[in-house]
Amino acid sequence: MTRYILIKILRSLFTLWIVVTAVFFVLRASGDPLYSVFSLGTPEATLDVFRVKWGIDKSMFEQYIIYFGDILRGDFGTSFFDGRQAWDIVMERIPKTLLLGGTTFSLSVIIGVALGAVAALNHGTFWDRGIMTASVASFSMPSYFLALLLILFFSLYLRWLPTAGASTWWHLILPSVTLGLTLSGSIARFTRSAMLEVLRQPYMRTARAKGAPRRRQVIWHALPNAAIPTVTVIGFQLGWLIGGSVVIETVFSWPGAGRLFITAVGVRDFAVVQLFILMVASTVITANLLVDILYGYLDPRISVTGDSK
Amino acid sequence: MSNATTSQSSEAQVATDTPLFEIRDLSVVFDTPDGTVQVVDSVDLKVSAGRTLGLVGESGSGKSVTCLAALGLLAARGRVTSGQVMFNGRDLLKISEEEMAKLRGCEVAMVFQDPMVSLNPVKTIGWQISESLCLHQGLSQGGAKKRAIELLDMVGIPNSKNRYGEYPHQFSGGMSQRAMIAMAIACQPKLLIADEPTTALDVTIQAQILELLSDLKKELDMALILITHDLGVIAEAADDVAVMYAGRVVEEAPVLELFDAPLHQYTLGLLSSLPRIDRTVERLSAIEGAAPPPQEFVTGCRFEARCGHCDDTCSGTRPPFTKISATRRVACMHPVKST
Repeated sequence: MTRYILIKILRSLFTLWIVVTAVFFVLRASGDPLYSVFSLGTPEATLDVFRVKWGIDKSMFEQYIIYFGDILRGDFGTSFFDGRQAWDIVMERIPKTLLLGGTTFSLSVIIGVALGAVAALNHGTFWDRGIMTASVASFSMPSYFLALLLILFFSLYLRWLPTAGASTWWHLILPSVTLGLTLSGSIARFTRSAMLEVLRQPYMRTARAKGAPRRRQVIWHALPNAAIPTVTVIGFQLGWLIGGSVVIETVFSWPGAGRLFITAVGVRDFAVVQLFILMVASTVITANLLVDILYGYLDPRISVTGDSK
Repeated sequence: MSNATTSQSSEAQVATDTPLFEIRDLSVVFDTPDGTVQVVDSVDLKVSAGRTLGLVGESGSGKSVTCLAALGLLAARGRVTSGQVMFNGRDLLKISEEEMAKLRGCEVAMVFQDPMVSLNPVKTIGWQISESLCLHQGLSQGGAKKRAIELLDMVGIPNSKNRYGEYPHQFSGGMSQRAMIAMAIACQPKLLIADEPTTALDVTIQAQILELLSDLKKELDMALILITHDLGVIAEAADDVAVMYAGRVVEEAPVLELFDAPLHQYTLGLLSSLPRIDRTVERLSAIEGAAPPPQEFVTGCRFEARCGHCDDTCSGTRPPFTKISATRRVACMHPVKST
């Protein structure tokens, strides 16, 4: 087990290194932060002062070495604009992002799995078609468009829910529903196909032949098997969720890390962008690692320990 | 059930009492995208306690479907269109799904063809056996575990205590089938239906499983229906035989009579295609052609196209059963003349 995890961790670190490096160079190739702050006529002398101050006067390679060394020491640099540590700036936004992401994710998993299972169990009926139509609609629709529709209806027409901010629980509803509808739609589809596959397996007939009531067949025999492929897919959805929340935080002015990221990219605030992407990459990698480990518990045929039987 | 344990000596077995399990005039259709096809056509079968009925036929002859339909285990596209399934005086086709569920795994149990895929891969063997005990006998977890280990011993699984906690993928084919049998007999059913229980197994294992089934049948005084396409299995384990062809029963007989003097031309064909240890032949004879698929089932004799003895009387109407003796009947216009 330890050996397996060790290899996984080493591989993850390698992936992170690629991400960090790519972001570093792409960001610097994308534009000069000086021009997002100063107007065109600013004297070169002034710009030079800032170039030295921000450490972008050296060659790209030198900058990379310094940056990399800093990361290893746990120093993620300072923001060009307010001079605070990038770490502090990002971390103060994280709780709100976790709140939105966590709510969305858990609701979507519960709703998606339940709807998918119901659709599979009523295969070919009105319920199946209804759920599938709704889920295709929900995940084919761009989330910002869905957001606008929901705002129009619930905020402008019914005047029930606020459109922006995060001061009360009411503010959480629209962004998490927007994000969650899309996510639960795709989870429902995956659960449905996994369930359909499981339901036609001979061991389901064995369960029936044993006299297990319908509910028991579903919960104890079908779902644990259908969970295996579904968990993988849900793990992958986490990366999507982070991407989606960047958009949704912007649309609903949710004061999370995603919105911070959009602003930081706009003004080429290197340190903040780099840290944010590093954190996203670590989250996705950790999620995948967790899925791998969870797999071993869900499917006894897979041995994560490496000592196969 | 007065004729309970007097198996094998099949000659004078006159079933005067009502059989434990009787299928009457059962017809099953499948709904396909191209319309409905009838796969089982007015099948009658019966078996008494302590007896083994061998149900033999080629694949697609409707033997499995007949039994699945009788226990309400058909896949969603299958439907029973007529018939009765009498078990202990009750018509199983009339009772509710809930009552049927109480009966299944308890009084009537089934063993399936491929044990490796018929066991749930993510549950331990022990869990799967204990499940029926908890469901039907209301045993506690501890009680069910103790009983499940006894059952594993009973079906000849060595080291049963450890194997209780193992998963199906850790079991060989033969051991899996033993576990399936343990699961089926957990609640001491009155009727056990074994659907090709040995087909997926090695020949040496086959014999062991058949022996196990026969022993258990005697021990628990069960009625056993053994579905197979293998006449060797029939010869080894059955008391009575029903031969199915293209969705119909064509001949019924006690096992020795069937092998001694087959009456239906199809049965004769089947028997001649068996290798014989007491004769040397260049080629085994085979029945020409292939069994028709359900879409091509005709009203008249369905074996006509492959039969060397047919004439005009064979087509058009279904050959009626001729009763030869109390335990023997055949549906053929030109039954084999005994020599």
